Amino acid sequence: MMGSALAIAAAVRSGATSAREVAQVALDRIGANDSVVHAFTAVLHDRAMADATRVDALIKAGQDPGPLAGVPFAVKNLFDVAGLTTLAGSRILADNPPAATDAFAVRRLCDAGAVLVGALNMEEFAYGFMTDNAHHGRTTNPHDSARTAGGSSGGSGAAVAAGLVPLALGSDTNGSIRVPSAFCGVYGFKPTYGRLSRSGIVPFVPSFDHVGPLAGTVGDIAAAYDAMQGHDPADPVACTRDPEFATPLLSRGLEGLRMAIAAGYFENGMTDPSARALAAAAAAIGVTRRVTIPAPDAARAAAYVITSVEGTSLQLANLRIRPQDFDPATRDRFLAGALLPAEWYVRAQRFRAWFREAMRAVFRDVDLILAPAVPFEAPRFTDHTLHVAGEDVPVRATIGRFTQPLSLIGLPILVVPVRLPGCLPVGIQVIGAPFNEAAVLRVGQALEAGGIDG
Amino acid sequence: MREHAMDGLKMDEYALDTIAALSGLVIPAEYREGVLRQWRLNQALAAPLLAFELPNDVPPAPVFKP
Repeated sequence: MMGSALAIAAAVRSGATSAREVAQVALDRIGANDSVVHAFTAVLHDRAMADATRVDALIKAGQDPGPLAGVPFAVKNLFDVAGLTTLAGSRILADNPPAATDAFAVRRLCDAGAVLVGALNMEEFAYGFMTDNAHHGRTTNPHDSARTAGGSSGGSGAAVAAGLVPLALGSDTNGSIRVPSAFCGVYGFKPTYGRLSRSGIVPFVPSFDHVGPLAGTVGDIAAAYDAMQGHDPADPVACTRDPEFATPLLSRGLEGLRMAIAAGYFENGMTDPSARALAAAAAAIGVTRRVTIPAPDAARAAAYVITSVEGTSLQLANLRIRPQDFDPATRDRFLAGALLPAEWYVRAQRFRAWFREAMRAVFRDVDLILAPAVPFEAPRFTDHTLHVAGEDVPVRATIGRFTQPLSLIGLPILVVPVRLPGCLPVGIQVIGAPFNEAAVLRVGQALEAGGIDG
Repeated sequence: MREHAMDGLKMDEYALDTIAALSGLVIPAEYREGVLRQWRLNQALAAPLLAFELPNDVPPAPVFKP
């Protein structure tokens, strides 16, 4: 990976290097290496150098360039970037005019001094975990090019893991930040639903779409998260809470935090590396207690139903008139989603209300829960089934086993990458109660300090 | 409807042709196999939700607040 975002910012702020020099290094790396991982769908040379020049000018004038001064970053191509057509991984949107302004989250990072260098590949409309995109190509895993980087924010995970940028933005509905983070071996953070504004992104499932950062360190995650906080009336679900900055709390350690491992469902249905990763992480921070997350299989099913119905609803107009322009894998899911009975959707929403209350009860006894992020290491693109815990399971339909039940109710979750000897990266989820992001990141910081990320 | 419910395959075909049409969708022949496969997968993945017995005190529908 590149040096950490915070190390770059410190060097730029101190004058040890300039934002322009850093931007040029990032652009050169992308030019030299992206043909292997295929993370980028657009590289913004002119904008990057212009933004970097602005940062350098602020420093020269003695003004504060922001906590992310000169940090190169890139965004999943469903974020609006001024002057660029927002693709959301599709051909359908390719004829749209360029975005007039940056998405809120992009704007906030740039206001903090970060330098946008490009847009990143993804699954079409964020629907899938493989980033094997029929229009824009497949993003490969930097650890093994025969394998997926995960998805749907596959370009974001791969770009950070390959050292092309130290920081990327993704979106997460059913695991789309968490899965590529685990498969690529980087940190990925999905804050509480509503904590970060989603204005200026192409929605997939509005009732549980989230945005968040991917990076190589927890400190970088926290810095980006802090920079993106703040109310935005343009997102109807954006919270009105005052920002609660996580960075100042990272050094507090684990004192006072009640932690447990998710039992039952979350201890089954995975391969040995995922199980050992969870055990290693729990051991590293002394967690032995277990708690039961109620009805996770029904929670996953509810997430699936809501995803199908809301996702399809947003695409119906184009499905009617130009189905041939969808990625075939995505098109089949959307079309089948149009057939779901209305009662299933209502039932899923009712279940969601029940599940939220049931999890509130769990969080009265614990502050944080550890669970696996993915059931197996990154699969090969050619894998259709894998042998997991004694049975053959379909790859694509199983990747979200551990992520889907949780985002349904918008909990803040950090994926901590775990790299065991002889294995590809996997990851664990650190799950918190709503709006308890700081505690989630404190646990991540403790795990990183213990060297769990390899 | 009763006639189509007699076996799963006919029901799936019915859903594909009739329910999709209610949403203004025509599913071309070349997509039918993939969509049917996905529709059956949807049914399997939704099963744990349909089997879950919601307590009576859960509101009967998402609450709308004017």
